[in-house]
Amino acid sequence: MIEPPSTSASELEQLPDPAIVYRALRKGWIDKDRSIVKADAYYLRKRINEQGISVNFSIEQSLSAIRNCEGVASITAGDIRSIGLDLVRDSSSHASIIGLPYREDDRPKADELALLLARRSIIVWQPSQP
Amino acid sequence: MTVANEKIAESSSKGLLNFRITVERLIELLDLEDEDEYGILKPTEYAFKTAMKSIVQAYDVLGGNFPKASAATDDRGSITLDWTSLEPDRTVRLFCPFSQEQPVDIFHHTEDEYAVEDIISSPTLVYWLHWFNET
Repeated sequence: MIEPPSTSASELEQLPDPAIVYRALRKGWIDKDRSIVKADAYYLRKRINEQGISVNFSIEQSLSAIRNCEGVASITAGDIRSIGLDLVRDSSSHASIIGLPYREDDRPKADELALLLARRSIIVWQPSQP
Repeated sequence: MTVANEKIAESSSKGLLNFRITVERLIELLDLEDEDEYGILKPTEYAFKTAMKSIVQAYDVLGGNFPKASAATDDRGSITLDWTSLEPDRTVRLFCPFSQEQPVDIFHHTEDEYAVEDIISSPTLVYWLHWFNET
């Protein structure tokens, strides 16, 4: 996974509501019965002190984030903000969804926000079946 | 066979199929690579045994009403099992941690409410799957 560069808060750029960002989906993050994104795609990892959910500005950039990527999902900045979170750009190719708690610190809120992000996501790329 | 008997047989066979699919999805997690760029992919033995034990106990009670779940691991080898309905909007998520230092818990969600409950006995999952089935 490409980690965001260290950037001070004042350097982070707010993105407009229509901005679309892409999240690489690892194995198990797609509900194959319904072809929807699962909440698993939107948890912060406390183990590495992750501060935001890593997203990119193109499908191609997301594909390079995880080898054997199972799919790529899109979500808009407006949808992210509609549930009280925020989206900030931290480099030319990378942005972060911020405002989520770690599951270890607030299980109900982390589970609910992850689910709401998943429900607002659309699968835009999947590998072709053999 | 009467119509009532046919319906019981059909329901029983659907629950068994859902249970088998769920077990197969759990077993498939064991075939994953050990890890990827995000973290651990393969579940820990503790998470796998906890998940398997939970669904076997739930199937023993629910039988033909056992709903199909999807399975995934987090970056530390914990397992989540998801039961999802879009209409009506209902989700049950069973979290089986990578080690016994964390609690096994269940998250449930509707359009109007959500909560997490620690599992302290096997009927807890059965209760929430009954609730999930009330659609």
